[in-house]
Amino acid sequence: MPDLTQFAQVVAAGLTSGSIYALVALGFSLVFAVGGFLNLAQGEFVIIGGLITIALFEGLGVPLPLAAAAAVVVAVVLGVVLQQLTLSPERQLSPDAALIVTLGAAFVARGGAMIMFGKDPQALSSFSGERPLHVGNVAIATQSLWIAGTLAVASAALWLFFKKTYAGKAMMACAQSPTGARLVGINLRHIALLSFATSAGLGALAGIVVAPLTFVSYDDGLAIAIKGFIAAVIGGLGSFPGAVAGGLFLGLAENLGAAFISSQYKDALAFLGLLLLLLFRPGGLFGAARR
Amino acid sequence: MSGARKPERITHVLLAVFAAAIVIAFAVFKGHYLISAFALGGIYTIAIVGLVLLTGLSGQYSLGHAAFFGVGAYASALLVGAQWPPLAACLAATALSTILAVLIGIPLLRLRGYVLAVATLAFGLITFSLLNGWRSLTLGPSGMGNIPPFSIAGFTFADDAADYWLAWGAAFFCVWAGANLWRSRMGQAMLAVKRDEQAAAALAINVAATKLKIFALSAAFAGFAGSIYAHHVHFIAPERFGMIPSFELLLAALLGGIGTPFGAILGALLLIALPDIVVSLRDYKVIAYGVVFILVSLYFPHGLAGMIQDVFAWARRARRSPGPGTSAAPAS
Repeated sequence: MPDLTQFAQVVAAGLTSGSIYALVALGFSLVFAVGGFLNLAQGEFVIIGGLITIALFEGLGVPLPLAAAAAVVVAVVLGVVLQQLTLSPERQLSPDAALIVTLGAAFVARGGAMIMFGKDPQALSSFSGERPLHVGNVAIATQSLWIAGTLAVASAALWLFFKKTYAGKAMMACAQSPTGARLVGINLRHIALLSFATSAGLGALAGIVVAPLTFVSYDDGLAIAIKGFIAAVIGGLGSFPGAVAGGLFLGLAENLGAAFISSQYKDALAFLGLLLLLLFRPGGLFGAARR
Repeated sequence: MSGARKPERITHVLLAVFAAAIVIAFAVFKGHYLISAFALGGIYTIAIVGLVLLTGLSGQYSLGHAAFFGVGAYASALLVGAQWPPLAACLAATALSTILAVLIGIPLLRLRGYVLAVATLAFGLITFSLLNGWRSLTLGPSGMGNIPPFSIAGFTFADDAADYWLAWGAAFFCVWAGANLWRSRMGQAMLAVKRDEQAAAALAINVAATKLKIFALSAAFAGFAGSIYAHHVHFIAPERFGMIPSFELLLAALLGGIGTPFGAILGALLLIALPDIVVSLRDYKVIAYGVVFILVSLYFPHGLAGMIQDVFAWARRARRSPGPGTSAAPAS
């Protein structure tokens, strides 16, 4: 019988990795809702964000906020270039062809990251010291709070964006019906570009805040993308509240599984969960998929 | 299409050329160390034919096909280790791959195409971590060695030359079967499903069952190829059946051409040449793979075979309508 402290510790770890999955899943759902395809390069933005911040902050001594901002900007620019060159709506790629294109982009990013930043996993120091916070007997890394906070702020900003701004409402319209949105004069090309750029920025943000907790390695991107996809499927692909809930759920389930079932097969369990989910609830745990 | 018999004649000509090429290549490279690499090419052809049929006929993608290949290889190695005759082990390994595909496919193929792509990716990763982690069965990352050569009813395929005939004989059979399937009623039903699922369903085609059949068949080909692979190289390890090999198989299928089963032969030949090409690229190998993936899906959706077809179609039109300025009808 595991004791309560251990359980709480595992839950805290689960919510931390869950927040990261949620950020990636948000990007996944954003691109899928507007463009109708899966972006397997989503995890590469996470890696790029982390690696650039590390290179600027640890390597060149650039102040952390500046380094982080630069990393987000680079990721967004790379995302925009990729989207414009290969994935913009006027190309009318089939979802399958788009998937293969993003897979190719993931390879290019992975190879580029290896050449620029090397093969060794790299670390970033914690934003506010290594001393953990103690809540009762449970030790929580302060970085976990940064991660959860980032997710909270990002979700709130997205929510405001969708509710209050023209661009946000136009994006929701495109997600519901691309043809209908075009009929009322919404420029699908701009919205698709905006959704892709936003998801690249979200990915980079996730990479920056998670870097102090896990080493960042050039070849982690695809695994992260798949985790984000699993989270998005759990919440119902294309749904934004679903992406957050799905991410947190996946993080919890994975860490509880690793603690109480098997840590060696942690990833395998998550993938198995995905297969079972697609089998029994293809619309996600919380609702129906959009497309 | 002009005349119903014509595609059949072209297929027969291509099969004859293929058979002749197998014999001539053997005569040229007999005794050369390359014959072993060519045998590998035959084995890859079998697996890639499955992928070409899956993607070309039904529009599905498998991102984890090396896992089916690996299941075939490991099942064969383990059963032969348990004193099964190689042929029986090979059949069982093929069946196991097929059953796994059916188990994955039944729930998923009612959904849209991308779901299968991601699910096969997940399946590939699960298989990889099991091959690595289940040490009592697979011996883990260090792999299994001493796999005996293939044999049928007392005849042992003892050397690379014998493996060459085994692999290319099987590959010829698979390409022939694929070409027949392509022109059959079922193949045309699959094409209809690829073009428009709702229209196909309206024509009383069972969409889910059609997709399941082709997915199971492609896994069977991969498992069969994996089994022969284990007997050919005598040593297998998880790293050969991971994510990168899966992508290499898909890349070979796309590059060779998914518009005809013959594309698989070109793809397999590219795949065995690949180590020699990419060794000079060193660290740029991954980037090169990525760029090729992007370019092929954007600009050459039918691969090498498609380009060759285009050249022939162009030559035929040029012969038929001499003089410039004649309006060219789109091919097929």
